[in-house]
Amino acid sequence: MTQGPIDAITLEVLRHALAAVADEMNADLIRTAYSPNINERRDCSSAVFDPAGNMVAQAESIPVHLGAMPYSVAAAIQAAGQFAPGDIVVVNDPYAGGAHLPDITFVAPVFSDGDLVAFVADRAHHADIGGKEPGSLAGDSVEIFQEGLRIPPVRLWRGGELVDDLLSLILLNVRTPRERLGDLRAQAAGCRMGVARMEGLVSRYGREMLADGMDAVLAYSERRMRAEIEQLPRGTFRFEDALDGDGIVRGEIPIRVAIRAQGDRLIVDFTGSARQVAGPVNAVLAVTASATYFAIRAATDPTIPANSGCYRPIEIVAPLGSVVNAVAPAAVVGGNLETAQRIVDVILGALGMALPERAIGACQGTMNNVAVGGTDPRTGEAYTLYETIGGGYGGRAEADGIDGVHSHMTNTLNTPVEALETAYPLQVRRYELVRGSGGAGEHRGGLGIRREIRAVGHVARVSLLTDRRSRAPYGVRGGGTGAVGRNVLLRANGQEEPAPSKGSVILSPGEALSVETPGGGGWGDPAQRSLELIERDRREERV
Amino acid sequence: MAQVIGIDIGGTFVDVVIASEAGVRIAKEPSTPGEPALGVLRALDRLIGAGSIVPQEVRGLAHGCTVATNALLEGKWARTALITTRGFRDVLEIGRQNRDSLYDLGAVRSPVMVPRDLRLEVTERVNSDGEVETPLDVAELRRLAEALRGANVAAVAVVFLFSYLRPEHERAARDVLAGLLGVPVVLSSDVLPEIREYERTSTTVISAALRPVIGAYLAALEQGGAERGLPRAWRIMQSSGAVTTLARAQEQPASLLLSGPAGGVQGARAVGAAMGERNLITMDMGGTSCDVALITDGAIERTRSGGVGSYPVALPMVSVHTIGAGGGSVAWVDRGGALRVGPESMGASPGPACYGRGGRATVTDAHLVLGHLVADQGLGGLPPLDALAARRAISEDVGQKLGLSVERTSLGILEVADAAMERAIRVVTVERGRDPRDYVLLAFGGAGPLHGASIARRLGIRRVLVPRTAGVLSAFGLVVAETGHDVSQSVVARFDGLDAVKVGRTVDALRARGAATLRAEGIREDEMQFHASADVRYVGQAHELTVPLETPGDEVDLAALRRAFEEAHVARYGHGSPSEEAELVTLRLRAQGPPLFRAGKVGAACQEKGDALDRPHDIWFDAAGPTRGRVQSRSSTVRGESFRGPLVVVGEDSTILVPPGARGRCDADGHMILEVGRDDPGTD
Repeated sequence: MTQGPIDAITLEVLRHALAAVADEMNADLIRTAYSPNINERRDCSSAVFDPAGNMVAQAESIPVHLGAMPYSVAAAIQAAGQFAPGDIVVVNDPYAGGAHLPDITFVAPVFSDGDLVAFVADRAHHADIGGKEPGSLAGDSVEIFQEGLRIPPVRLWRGGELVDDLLSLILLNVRTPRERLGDLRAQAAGCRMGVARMEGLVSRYGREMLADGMDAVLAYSERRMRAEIEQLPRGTFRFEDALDGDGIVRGEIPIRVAIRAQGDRLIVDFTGSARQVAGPVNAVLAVTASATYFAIRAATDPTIPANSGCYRPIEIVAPLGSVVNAVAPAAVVGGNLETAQRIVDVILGALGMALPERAIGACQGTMNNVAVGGTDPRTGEAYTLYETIGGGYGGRAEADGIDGVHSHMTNTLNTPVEALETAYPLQVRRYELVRGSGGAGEHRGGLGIRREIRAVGHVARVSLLTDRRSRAPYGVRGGGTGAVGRNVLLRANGQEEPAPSKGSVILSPGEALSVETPGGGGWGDPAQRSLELIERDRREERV
Repeated sequence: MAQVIGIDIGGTFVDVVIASEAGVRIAKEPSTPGEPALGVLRALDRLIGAGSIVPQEVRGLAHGCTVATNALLEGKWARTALITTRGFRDVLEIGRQNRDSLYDLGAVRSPVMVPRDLRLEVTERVNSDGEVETPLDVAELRRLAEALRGANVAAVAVVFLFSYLRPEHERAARDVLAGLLGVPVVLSSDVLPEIREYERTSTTVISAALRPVIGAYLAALEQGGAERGLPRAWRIMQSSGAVTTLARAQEQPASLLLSGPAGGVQGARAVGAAMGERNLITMDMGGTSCDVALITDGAIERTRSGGVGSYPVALPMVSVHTIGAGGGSVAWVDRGGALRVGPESMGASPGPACYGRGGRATVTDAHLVLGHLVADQGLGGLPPLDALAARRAISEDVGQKLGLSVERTSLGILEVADAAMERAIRVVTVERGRDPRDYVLLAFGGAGPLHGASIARRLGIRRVLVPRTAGVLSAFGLVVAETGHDVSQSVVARFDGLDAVKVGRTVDALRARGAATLRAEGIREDEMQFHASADVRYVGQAHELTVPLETPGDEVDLAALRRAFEEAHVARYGHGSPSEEAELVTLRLRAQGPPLFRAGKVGAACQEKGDALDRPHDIWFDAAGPTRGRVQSRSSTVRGESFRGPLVVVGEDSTILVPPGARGRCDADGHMILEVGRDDPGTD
């Protein structure tokens, strides 16, 4: 097999070497970051790029960043003009290479004897970037200016020197400046480690071989992805689903996709999806791309190294000004929390029609973002708790959907009940599976979770950014839909009141919010379900 | 002469170390997969029969046990019930709500150890201040227990929220349940009185569900040993790297899950210490995988966020990172045209192609083709290797597809395997804030010493150690490990409101618990050592750092603790802030007694088995062609005398590859030291 100047051995050796750089950058970023969101929940990723901005290796611990950073590097290259050693460009503007404002991306050039030989970049989700709500995840913003500080691609380090003026500007606009500073420094440290390691690879392998190696690694992933696409059935496969609403204007937000394989190219066309909306569930193109790459990667061969080559054969058609390719100043914070999940749902739905044996019932299709804030009566200090909650996984050919788990674009950990109650004036009353919430099927959908949080001795403000409260997760091949989720306010007298899918509620002392997350859609005809599984579900009170 | 015996079980062999004043003897006996106790007793029979072990001289036996691990991985635990606070029976199943593989749409959750119908809720609630908010409903609990009577459970675990602050409800529940059910009742406040309910529940359930399994195995060992005239003074290796008594091991099976690997790392530490090396990266490369661990400043790096499979165990364990690269790892060409090595392995059966049992091309075959292994010197007692089969497999499986010669292909296989291991070791060290260049590489296991020099050069490490007991290092680690116990108590309180006297009382209580356990194991008061530490974090952080807690004159010095935390935080994370509020989360104490055997005379009586071998030999290191070097048996490498690569040294159970440019020598104990120079261009 011919691969230009790089043989099969060097290809694999350099692939490991480049991936090791990304791995090490990410390990260093996680280790030195200040906030739990990065060092505990690992909401970050790191990557290596060739001088043209093609991503050659990526280390990521949650899929929401998959394949999105090339947009940031492209924006940095366009904005920065001439790079110099020691420069680090930062960007978070979704309309200039970012995803949503809390995700800040750092991009640093790598030089050898005065010539640009590579870029490295890292991205991290910051716990606050200003805007109208603590945590910068307001569920009722109607334009990006309410969502926090927008940073276009600008140098935060110039020739190795920190640009203090810019740093002061950033820190003045966020609620927790010291923590931000710690996380920004950790991102810079990650980039510096990446630069040093890439310089090491230049000395070890030489510039020529490294450049050829990057090309070969891209070509390798591209080859493998094209081979996967060639095996897909011909034809156009369409699927439609919807978000419940944007929290501002009543009405579902349809997302439509048409997928067709042409030769060894895959065209993913979102034409016909809703126009961008008032509320904060608009996705910029980078977010739509991440969700698309996730779904295709999961449905084909997840072992293909994730790099730009892997995505070359995939063409995304997303009309400008639509909910999957929003233009400024649309609010976008929920785009890569909620809309990204629905984009995955429609692509897996369409691919399930193309490859019925690999069809999967819809997973819960939401991250159930819950932020609780108030003043802790024990200390007089303000607090903010941010959580996401797992739910039902879709039924598959292999098995029932998993009960009570995060799916698709997120995989972040819960906060332990004991840790939560120790740190905040809140009490968790239940944390359990919701009986009967899985969609029926030969392999049923997974169960949702019920999590009930009570305010203790103070008034708490809860903001909700959730979905699948009215439109249920679909089943496949005759499987039933999963149960929709429910947000319920429990008054102190035990009375139940509905709480919104997106928006805010106030909890008086002793009142609680109960979040029931959606179940997964079922797979296959429920009549075909084995007696053994039916009996187990009954015995274990799962149905 | 008094003897101490170390017995470790592997997939193929039972490794035995017999330590006495005169030194250490080693033996390998075949293991009996599926019936581990039988393998151990048969090995003892043979060694007693041969006069190597003299039962009346034996002062102690230490054992690395894989029974708990295997039972967990194979799902062979006892039917167990779990009693929880109302509203929380699914904590064990939901876990941390994350999934193990991000992109596998077909992935399933590992079986939950207690099925949902055996997870029962009872009305009770303690709040985060440790106050009873809802008293335990004893009548309800009795009804649950009655219902459980017909359920045929062999053990019960009880986990209530905040029981580490107030264990009374769990204890009252035990009284009710034990009385009515007559099976072991295991409390989370006994197993792990620490914050974080999921990890505590998992650890408690593992201890309960494995108790019957481990109990039967250990009883068989003790009984079988006694029948052979051996003392009942068995010690079992724990995941922490310290050994404990049978009774204690049986009580806490969750502490045995890394019993095997912990022995190896403990052995490596002892060898390193004897050679004056305090910073070691240990690399134990066998047939299917390579275990990497770090020893920093003489101490084994441990973790409390480990586990086995997807079952977390929040007890201290040696931090071992496993890489899917071993001698049996299969070489293949993937659909994208890249040469890949692993993760599939030929294991021991059929084994590599050169075993002549129909295996495919592996890393071991590549070594044989290149002259790194010598065909007529079988591996660890195996018959001679089939060089033709190795060449044929490498050519057919890989070489022809790539259009490369057998030798070039073999070099490529090793290059790829090394690149993968380099990547893994780099990440492991960076994650912990370490630089591999500050370490010495200690290579052991069947394949470790073949890769030690090349991996070291890739990582910029100058020195490689190959211990004399490379093939039985785990068994050696058993006899040199201290007896030890880790006890803990979560407190969770901010520094500004902390009462030094109260903290001191908690530490005293932990010390009393540790001392009582050691006393029960026959350790004298003057041999006991106690090391207190504390988990501290800044308010708002999710993770704590464990820092030493000085208790001079039984006074707890909180200011010193706070300073130690700042220093540790800067060292680990690169920043710290004395002005920021911090909180104490958990107090810890390690109580330890002396090892069964004190190292130092390790090699004095090492058996020198096999014929002295020393002849010219062609060895490939790069595509330019073979280099004329030598092959020697390990017994012919004269102590103290230096040697140079290219050289292949054939040991009893592992082969050492010394590349050109590397120099080596054997020390007085027979450990080999290779100076490999620096290959890494450096990154600073």
